[in-house]
Amino acid sequence: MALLEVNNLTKKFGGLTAVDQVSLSIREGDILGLIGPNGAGKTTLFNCIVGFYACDKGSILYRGKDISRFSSDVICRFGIARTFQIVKSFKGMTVLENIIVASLLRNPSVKQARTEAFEVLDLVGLLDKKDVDSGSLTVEDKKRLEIARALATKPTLLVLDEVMAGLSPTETREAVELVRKIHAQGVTIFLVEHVMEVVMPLSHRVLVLDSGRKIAEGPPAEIARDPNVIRVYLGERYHARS
Amino acid sequence: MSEKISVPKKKTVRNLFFFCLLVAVLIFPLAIRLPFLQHLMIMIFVYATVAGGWNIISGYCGQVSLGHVVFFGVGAYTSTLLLQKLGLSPWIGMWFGVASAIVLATFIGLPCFKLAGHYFVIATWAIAEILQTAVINWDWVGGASGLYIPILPESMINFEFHSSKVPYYYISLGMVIGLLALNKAIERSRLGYYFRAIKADPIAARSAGINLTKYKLIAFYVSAIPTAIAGTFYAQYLFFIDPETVLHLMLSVLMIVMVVLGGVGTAWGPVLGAAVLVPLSEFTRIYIGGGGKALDMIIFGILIMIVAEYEPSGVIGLIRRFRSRG
Repeated sequence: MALLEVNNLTKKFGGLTAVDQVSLSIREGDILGLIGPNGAGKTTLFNCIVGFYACDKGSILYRGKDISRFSSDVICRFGIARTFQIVKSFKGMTVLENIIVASLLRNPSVKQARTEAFEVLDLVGLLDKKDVDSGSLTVEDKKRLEIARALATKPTLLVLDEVMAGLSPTETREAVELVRKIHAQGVTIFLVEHVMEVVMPLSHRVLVLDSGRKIAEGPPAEIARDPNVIRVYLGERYHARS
Repeated sequence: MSEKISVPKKKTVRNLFFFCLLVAVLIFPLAIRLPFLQHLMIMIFVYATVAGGWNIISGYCGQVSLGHVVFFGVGAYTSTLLLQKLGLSPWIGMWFGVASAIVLATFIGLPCFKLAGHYFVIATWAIAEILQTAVINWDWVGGASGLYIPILPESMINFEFHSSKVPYYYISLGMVIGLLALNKAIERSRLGYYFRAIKADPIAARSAGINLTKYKLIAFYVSAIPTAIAGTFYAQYLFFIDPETVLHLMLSVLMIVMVVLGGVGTAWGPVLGAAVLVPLSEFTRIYIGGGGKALDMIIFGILIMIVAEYEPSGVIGLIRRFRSRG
């Protein structure tokens, strides 16, 4: 059975159909990449899955249970954790305190939550900044904090919304390594990215969205050759020449 | 090496300071027998408790309520009515006041916590106005002319003392110590982390698995409890309550002013704020009399402007800055 199964999901904003009958499935242990040009509906699809938006049609099954009507805090408790494209942090609280907030979800006491928060901070490489106010972190560190906060809720499925956007090439490489490390710990990963160079080497399977519709799905190598994908990303002229 | 030694030293100095402070407030009414000064201290304690209650929902959890006075009023009215109509001891009536405040908090919180920012402020303000108007027009609870607390023989059980203010002093001191202990317990517990997270970013808090409505309601309950208890105390201390004193919007504003001046979202902030503002207001009342009724408010306003401009984290911020320098 798939860990997460999305069937014919549709989300409209007034007259605009942001996500149009998209289906996908993620098995446990997968790294699924979701790509598409700006405005393709990636973040909307993502927000429907994590309970941020209510979808208009279709179903979202997590371990066979329909979760499309639950709010984001309940979905997090089920085991799906998310990061935010526009990074968020609990300003006025230190990096360590930020992570304790999240790890309290699976720990009855603050003391245990603190111990686990240290482990998570070590994993994402923020341990030396644990006492810094989270509001004063650099963009790269804020992205690490996003991932750490999601990880601290001990998710089965981690959904990353453009965590690499805005990073330098070196920082991107580090972030890719981090995602690999997290996956190695047994976390299933659903990766939403704008940049193909990040998704292709990481993902087991890639799904391409354009104007709210799924236009391709398959292993990265196939996707890179797919005429539809090339047309969407590079335009008709390049497609014709290749 | 020198740093390692100075850390425990700092802690000892701190503990010594708090110990001296505790001794000082404990022997204060025995050493200083001037009723006015005792009254001043009692009022500081009452306001510190009330402001401390507001600080929990609004300071720690970030849900700015302008209607917090309703819990004070409910505390005062519940115990007074139970004493008048049923002869129930205010010590028991106090807990009925707390229970009523919690019921009221549920009815206010469930619809209002769906509102964000300014709309929550306006909604809670409206509720406070509605309750005050309702009580003014409700004769069974004394209407606009208020309620007198029945005079009983003075004793601890009756919660009435006529010959001395000292028992009131110690009871109100107990309230403040209870409030500080409550705040410290919150800060160290799950609630403290959740409240601050909800204040900083409700959306991120929610996606970290925090049920916003549940924890905002808990914050509302916890903040209503000391406020309602202070209401009962206030009634038993002054022997008279009316909608103009215990249900007036100005009291909500005072709570905010004190906490902002002392330090928002800190355990000691409300106490420091009350310690500065209560004497100020009592002294202007004495020296300028009825004619200077609003003078304390003018001074409060100026103080708030100074705080907002130079030290937004209040007196606590000043102390922290001073300590880190020295």
